[in-house]
Amino acid sequence: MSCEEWKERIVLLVYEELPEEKKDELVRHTSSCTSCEEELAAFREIHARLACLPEADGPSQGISETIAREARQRRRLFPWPALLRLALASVLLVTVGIVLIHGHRQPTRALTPITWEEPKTADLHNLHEQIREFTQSKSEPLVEGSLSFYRDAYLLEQKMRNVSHQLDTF
Amino acid sequence: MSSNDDDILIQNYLSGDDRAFDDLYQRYRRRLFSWLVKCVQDRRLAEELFQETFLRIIRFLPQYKPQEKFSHLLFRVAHRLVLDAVRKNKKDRGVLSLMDVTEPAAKSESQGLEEAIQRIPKEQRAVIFLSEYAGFTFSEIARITGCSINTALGRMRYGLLNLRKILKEWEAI
Repeated sequence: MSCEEWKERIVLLVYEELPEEKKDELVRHTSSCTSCEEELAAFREIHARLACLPEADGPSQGISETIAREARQRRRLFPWPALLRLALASVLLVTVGIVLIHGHRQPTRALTPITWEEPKTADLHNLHEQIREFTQSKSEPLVEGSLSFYRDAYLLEQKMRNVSHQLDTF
Repeated sequence: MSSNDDDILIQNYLSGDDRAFDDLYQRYRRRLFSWLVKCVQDRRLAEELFQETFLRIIRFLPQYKPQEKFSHLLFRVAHRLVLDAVRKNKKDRGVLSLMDVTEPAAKSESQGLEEAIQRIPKEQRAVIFLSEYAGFTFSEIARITGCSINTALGRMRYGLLNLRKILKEWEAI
């Protein structure tokens, strides 16, 4: 290993970051190399002198108070986003629930019952026509389980009942 | 003090415990301030930078992730502010006030050493201060200053060599 490579390790040795097994190797080398020995001694001396430099005490009380005040003010704001998120999530959940419930009930609520009228032959004929048109008008396939499926089934049932009732009365 | 403890204090602070922040502040108050004074050699400027560092940290804390040590984050922010301040100082005044050559013999040993440190390149100075006065390892210094560990080691070595050279010249006067 060249002196330059050994010197790269000297800093680690001085600052106690060199692994134990490499430490012994370096110490052995410095004992036989004047240049590396000098550098190690110089770095140790500077390190010791730097360590003796007086340390500043803390910042003024005013600075500490400003920071503490800011920390308290900011902290009061921190819980809000979480609470706000929770509140929004709750509102969203309730809204979705209402829409779903309302959506499922909508076919029964939205459909106006077919009012009963005195049956007439013309009416019966008309009803038959209506049913025929209704079933023919369904160009798109009815998907079981969809809202439109239940709505159409309901309407059809109502119409059939009317026809049946009117037939009974004759 | 472990970084784990710092993380607990931060979590407690964010959950509403103001005293947790006070504890965190007390842990780093002197270490950071001392390091800043050494870096800028001006107590007033050090106080400004110290306050700005903590204000930025407070604003950042809600996004803090324990993947990075709090001490690294704190000194990284402070290090950037120091570099900006040095840059601004150079721009405003041409040179750092401490770069003005004064008669070294008229100063005490510690003043002479502090002055000598101010004469070495700022990157080398930063590594020396982070190691000597903030107690970071070279891998931590690399993370804080955003360089590789080899660069951090190289800066330290050349910083110490430059320091030795300056001190030798002054001692020869």
